[in-house]
Amino acid sequence: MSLALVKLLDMGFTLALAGIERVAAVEKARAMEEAGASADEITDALQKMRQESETAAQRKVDAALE
Amino acid sequence: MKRLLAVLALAALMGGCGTWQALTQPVHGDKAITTEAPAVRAARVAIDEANASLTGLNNVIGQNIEAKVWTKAQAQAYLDQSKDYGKKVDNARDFLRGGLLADAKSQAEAVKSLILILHQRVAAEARKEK
Repeated sequence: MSLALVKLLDMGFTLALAGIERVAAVEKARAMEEAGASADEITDALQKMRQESETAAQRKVDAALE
Repeated sequence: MKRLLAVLALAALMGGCGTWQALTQPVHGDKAITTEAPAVRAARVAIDEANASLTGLNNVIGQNIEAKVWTKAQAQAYLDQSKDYGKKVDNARDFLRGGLLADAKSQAEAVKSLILILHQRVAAEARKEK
């Protein structure tokens, strides 16, 4: 089988993972919207989620060995 | 063999469509933002989608460093890039609060495009490192 196809599938998997992770944030926003949250509250929540994800990723990078 | 290749190509295509959809799925339904003026809504949607995409990206960076797919330096470089984009999205939010709607939208849209490019680079790097 062509190596290019294997690489394509592999890259697709990593991108899919990013998509799945993004969907979690989208679902939270949609749930807040359904619950009657204002647009500002949703924007605040998404900003907070992003900031928390930065902190969590930084913690993992810091914990990794050189 | 040809049949196997055809099946795999189809799977890649279908997976690709789903991935693209997940990476670009709108954050909002219509409820919360219908009362806002179109210019405000457009800026807000761009900001919210950029934040959602960066959240996804940061989580993947965390997973890839935990799984030892990348070195510490590689993961830190991507995370620094992501944080830089995050600051730009925060600036866009400040523009929105200050009523600079066109600036807010263009800043957030530019970051959204950069995030997609970064997603692709991250995926390509992860593939190369395996």
